[in-house]
Parts: sequence; C-alpha cells; structure tokens
Amino acid sequence: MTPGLLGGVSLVAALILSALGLVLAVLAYSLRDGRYLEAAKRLSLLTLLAAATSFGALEWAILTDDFSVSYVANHSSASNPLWVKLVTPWAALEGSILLWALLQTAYTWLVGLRAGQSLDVWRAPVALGTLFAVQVFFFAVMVFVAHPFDAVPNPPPDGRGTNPLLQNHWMMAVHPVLMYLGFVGLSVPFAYAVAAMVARRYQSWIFETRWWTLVAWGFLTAAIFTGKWWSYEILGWGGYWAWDPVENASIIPWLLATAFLHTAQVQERKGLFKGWNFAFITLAFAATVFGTFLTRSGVIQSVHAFASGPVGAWFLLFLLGVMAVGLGLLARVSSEIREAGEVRWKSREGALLAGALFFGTFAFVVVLGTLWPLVVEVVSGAKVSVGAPFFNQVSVPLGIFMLLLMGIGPVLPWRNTQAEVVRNLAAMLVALGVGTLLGLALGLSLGVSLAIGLFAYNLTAIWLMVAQGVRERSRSLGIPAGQALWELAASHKRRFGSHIVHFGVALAALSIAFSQTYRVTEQKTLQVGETWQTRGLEIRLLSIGAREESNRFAAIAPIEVRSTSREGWGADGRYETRLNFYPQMGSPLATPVVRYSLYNDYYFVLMQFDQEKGQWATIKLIVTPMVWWLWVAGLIIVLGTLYILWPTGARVTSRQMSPMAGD
Amino acid sequence: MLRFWPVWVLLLGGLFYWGMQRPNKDELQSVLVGKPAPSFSLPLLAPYRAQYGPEMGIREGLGKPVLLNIWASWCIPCRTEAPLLERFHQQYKDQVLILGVNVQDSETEALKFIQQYGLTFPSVYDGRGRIGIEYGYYGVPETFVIDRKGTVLARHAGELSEAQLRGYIEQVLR
Repeated sequence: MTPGLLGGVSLVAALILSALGLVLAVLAYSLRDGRYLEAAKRLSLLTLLAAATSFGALEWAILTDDFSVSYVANHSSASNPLWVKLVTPWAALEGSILLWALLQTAYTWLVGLRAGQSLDVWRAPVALGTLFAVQVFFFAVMVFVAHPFDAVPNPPPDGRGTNPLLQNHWMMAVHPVLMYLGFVGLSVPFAYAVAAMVARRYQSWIFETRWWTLVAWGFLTAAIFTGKWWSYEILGWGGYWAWDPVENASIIPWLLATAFLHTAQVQERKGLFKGWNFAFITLAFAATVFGTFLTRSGVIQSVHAFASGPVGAWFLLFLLGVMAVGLGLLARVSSEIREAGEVRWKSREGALLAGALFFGTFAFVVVLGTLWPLVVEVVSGAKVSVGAPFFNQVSVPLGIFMLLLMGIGPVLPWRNTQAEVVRNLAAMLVALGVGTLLGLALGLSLGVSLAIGLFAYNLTAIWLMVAQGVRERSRSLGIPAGQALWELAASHKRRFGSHIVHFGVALAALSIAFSQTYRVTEQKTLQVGETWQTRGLEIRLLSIGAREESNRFAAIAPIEVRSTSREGWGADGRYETRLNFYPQMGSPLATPVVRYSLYNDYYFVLMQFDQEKGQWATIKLIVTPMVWWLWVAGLIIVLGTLYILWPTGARVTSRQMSPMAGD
Repeated sequence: MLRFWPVWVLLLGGLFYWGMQRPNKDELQSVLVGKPAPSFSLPLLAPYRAQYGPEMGIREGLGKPVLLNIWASWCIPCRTEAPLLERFHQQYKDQVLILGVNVQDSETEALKFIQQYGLTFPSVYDGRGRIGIEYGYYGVPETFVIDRKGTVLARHAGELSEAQLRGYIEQVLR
C-alpha cells in the first residue's frame, strides 16, 4: 500500500459515505423514521475516519518524500525541515481543500452527537443532511478536479518545494488551521438555520446556534489576529492589514457572524429579529464560500491567491447554491416570521439591532469595495483598484459608531430607560470627553485622541456594570465585594465573557489608532561599521555574512542598536536582519526582526546588501507605537470567548432551563 | 428585496462567471494599441551618452522597431527582467532598439542598477515619470512594443518572461 493509493481510496470512500449520509438524512426526514437518522449519525463517524485516513496519507507521503504523489512533488521538498513538512498539507490548493473537508467531517460528527437530543428529531435530519451535502461538494471537488493524490508517472528526485512565504514563519502552522476551523465552523449554524426554516421551528434553533457560532467566531477571531501578526512579522512593510481581497474575505464572515451573535440575544430573550438572524447566518456562511471562491478562481487579483484552476467554477456553483438555499427558504418562510413586537430603540434590543446593522453595513461596504474593480470592468472595461484609502475612510466612522454602541448597549436595560441608566451614560460621556481632551492636550491627533476617549468610555461602561452588580450582590448577601465579584463572574459567564471581549475590542481599537497614525519608516544604506543615528536610536551595521540552510540560503546583516533617548526606549540589543533566498523564488524574501516593547515596536528589515564585496547594506527601520497591544487584545478577545464557552455545571442547567416554548 | 432573491443570486453569479471567463485577467488594454506612439525625447543616463548622444526618445522616422521598457531601480520584477532584456539586446541590437525609461527614481540609484546588471541597452532618465502622462503606464515594469512605422503593437504590464519577450520581438520583426 502506498500513501497515494491509500489517500485516493479513502477520498472516494469519504465521497460515497457523504452521499450515503445525505440520502439517509433525506429518508429520515421524509419518512420520519428515527432509524435512518441513527444510521446517518453512525455514518458521520465513518466519514470522519475516511477523511482522517486520507489526510494522514497525505502527511505520510510528505513526510516520506514520496514524490510519486503530485501534491508532494509540486509543493514539498526533501530538504524541508520537519515542521514545514507537517504544515505542507495546507500550503497549497488541493491539500487545503482536504483539510477543509476533514474539519467539515469532524463538525458533522459533532452535530450528529447532538441529533435526537438538543437537536430535535424534526430538525436533526435536515441539519445533518445539509452538512453531508456540503461534504459531498468538497470531496467531489477533490475526487474530480483537485485530486491531491494524482500519480506522477516518473517521480522526480526532489519536489518543487513549499511556498517560501509559508516556510518563513511558524505562524503558518497555526493561522490557516484556525481560519478553516472558523470558516468550516460557520457551516454548522447554517445547517441549523436551514433545518429551522425547513422544519418551520423558528425559535429553538437560536440557543444552540448561538453557541456554535461563538465557537466558529472565536476561531475566526484568532485566525484574523494570527494572520495580522504573520503579515506584520513576514511581509516587511510594517503593517498588519492591507485590505487585500483575501483579508477582506476573512473579515466579511466575521462581521456577519458578529452581527448574528448580537441579534441572536434579542431573539433568545424576546423572540424578535428572526428574519435578521436567518439572513445573517446564511450570509455569513455564504461569505466563507465567497472568500474561498475569490482566492481560488483568479477573479480578483490578490497577493494571497492560489493558482487559479478549474475549481473556481465549482466554488461559484457552490456559493450560488448556498445563497439560493438560504435566501430561497427565507423568502418562503418570511411571512411566518413577521416580528411579533416592536423594536424599542432606546433599550438594549435597539442598541443590539443598531450594532448588528452597523456590522452588516460594514460587511456590505467591504464586499462592495472588494468587488468594485470587477463591477467597473464589466460596465466600462476599465481596470481600477480599490485600495486601503477607501476602506480606511469608511471604516473609521463605522468603527467610531460601533465603539460608541458597544459601550451603550450593555448599559441599556431590556426595558425602557431609567434614571440610573441616564446617570451611567452621563458618566461614560464624561469619560469620553475627558479622554479625548487628554489626548488633545498631549498633542495627539484628533483621531487618536478620540480613540483614547472611546477607550475610556468603554472602560467606564464595563466598570459601571461590573461594579453595580458586585455592589448589589455584596449588599444583599452581606458578603465581601471580592467574593461577590467571583461568584458573579462564575454564574454570569456570558455577561462577564462579553465584558472581556468588549474590553479586548476597545483595546484593539486603541492600538490600531496609535499604530496607524504614528508609524514612521526610515531607510539608510550603511557601510559595515557605520553608525546611523535616528529616532533616539544608534544603529550600527556590524558585518554582512551568509549562511546556507537546508531549505534556503540566507544573507545576514547583524546590527547593534542602542537607545540614546527616551524615544528609543526598549530597543537595545543585537539583531540579525536577514534576506532569505529560496530556490523556487526569483527574488529574496526579507525576514524583519521585530523588537517588541510596551510602547514602540522597532522593526528592522534588511533591504539590500553589497553582493560582491559585502561592504554595505540598506536597512529599513519602522517604528510603530502600541502594536504589541493589538496582539494582547486579540488574546483577550479569544480568552473572553473561551470563558463564555467553557462548560460548567451552571451552563448546562441554565440551558436545560432556558425557555424552549417559543415554537 | 427578499422576494427577488433569484435575481440577486443570478446577478452575482453572472458577475463572477464573467470575471472568470475573461481571457487574460492580468491584461491591461491600452488605448494606445494600434495608434502612433507618442513622441518624446529625454536625457540619456550618463553611461550611454558617448554612444547615443545627450538625448533619446521616440520620434518619427526612427526606422527601427522599439521595445520601450519602463523600469525603476526599486522595482523587484525589474531585477529579473533586466538581465533578460540585456541578453536580447545583445542578440537583436541591429534589428530592434530596446530603450529603457527609468521612472520615479533617483539618478544615482538608477546608475547603480545599470552597473549591477551591466546593462548596455540605452536608458533615458525620467525622474518624475512624466512619460506616464502620454503613455499612461500602470506600474513598473511595463513594456510598449512599437513597430517600424511607430505604431504601438502591444503593451505588456508586469514582468516579461523569456517566451513573451521572444514573441514580441518576432512580432515586430515580421
């Protein structure tokens, strides 16, 4: 048995099993027979095993340098270090689809475990059927158009090697997997939504779907932040977000899922916004497919694009299918889910809906900006590009409104506004004003000052809410404040978790405002031994050397940096700036050295060097304030999400007790 | 809005389908193709003055096909393109004029680049990229293929591969 054969056979097996699962789910639904559902559940485990076998076979082929497998010959090399080989399955198109399909089977299996329990017998077959259908698509794509295990008749002695951008940083081991966990994770809420619309049970789906969405959202958030970090540490331009079509593709589902997480609370509590929730979930999942389609069809130019191949048309059909199913069902049931009550704007539900509408608008704007070049080309034949300036201009006002709402929303009660709330809002507005004025007094720009104000405002909102709860509890039970806080945090995980997430978002906004406004870039060509004084730093080029590594050749220019004033605080040290030369890439790839500090990040890039005599090198210095806090903020958001999701006895009972009578 | 969902889905599908069917997604059509190449004259960079005089450019009655290559020292694809152009220049210098236009660059950096790659085909210096006003180049590198009569035959945005360059040269020599 060769890895190629094992992988190919298990792929076909997975395709057949998924198709069978779909048939069983359809039978279970149409015949209302629990035995078919049971069989479909079992099948989901078998499919998972088949997919895992196939994925394992790919790893096996890569690790054993089996270049008779086309994927390995095209995307791996015997000289790659072990960790690169381990992550090579998702370094190119076919392997990444395999990873996607594997994760999809895992999610389907997990959903199967709930079928017949919290997922009732009317919805379970539809939900499982939807997921099996998605699986059929992915396995069919692999079996028919993007086969990872195609045989190479005359295997080469060595493969072409892995994309250097992916080899350059360990983050590539993590970021794509998180992204797929998030993308694929959104298929489950979609399946639940479809099930709810088919089975005409419009309320019960929301409880569990919110949980699944939060799982996917947490992964997506982590993926977006690790992606930013990767781009910051690798691409060497000193930024972390460029509004590239593929970055947009990751933010669109994130925004829509965020919108859903907010409106879902209103439906959970008051039964409102059913239509919005179905729409947000459908569009969020469609957006993940849209993103995949963009990167794999060559429709829009992007730095991330995979080589465009025949899969584009398949993904397009899949995208249209998802939208047709979601929107078609929604159109069919729309008359049955008319809002029962009226939205009171000056209450929590109003703030939540407004927030969701902002997220939706933001997503729409990003879609528009991403597709605009294509639209213009259709209409006039001209090539235009929509770049960062457009997105930055629209995201700043939207961001400000969202930060304002983020503070107000949780403070507003579900019912009508009371005097105490007015007091709280006044305190928050004072914090906003004081923070902004403080920033202006320090000579910061208006935007950054406003960001400080909004940070203070959100911090005040969180503080007021926590303090109020703690005060009431400690007074009524006669316990110390610390104990009250502890108990509250343990018993109200959703609320405290959301405070943590909101704090992370506010911190991220602050960090983005500072880093985008005050980034400075300087560049200088230094002779060996020469010292460059700038920005409170003394930079000395020590030498220029070269190093042969297994998978690349590196030019290394070590520098010594000393801080000479407060401006350069924290930059001291000796750094190895380097250019990596990969055989499969024409031009060298710079690996920036980043010195993180609590305020400024110092970023050194070797731009060029004297290739003949090794006497000079051009070094780029980028100083960016507060970037480090962006990574902290990302971690806080993910931890907050984990806190909400962490299973405890309390959560289980609360779910069992949650009202299921809405149907 | 929702009632018309099939329309939205079909519109989106049509847009993407069209986007995928475009024959060459990277191609940038130039309005200049088929028209006379705008004439210009720009100062030559120092190493070429001895052989070609102080200025050079496109003018009527040149009598020789021209490959107008717009480049800059800071442009990374230009680095792979430069040795290729030099090789073709050596091979075809009697039949085709390869003329470089160094744009948006400092003269010292441009000279360093020329020295580094040992470029013997002439390059003029256009530090502020004024040639873009009439030629409308999109980025660097970019190549305009101009036939004997001074008509623009093609415009190529981005790096030229060896096969593409050979194709263009065969096209102008035909």
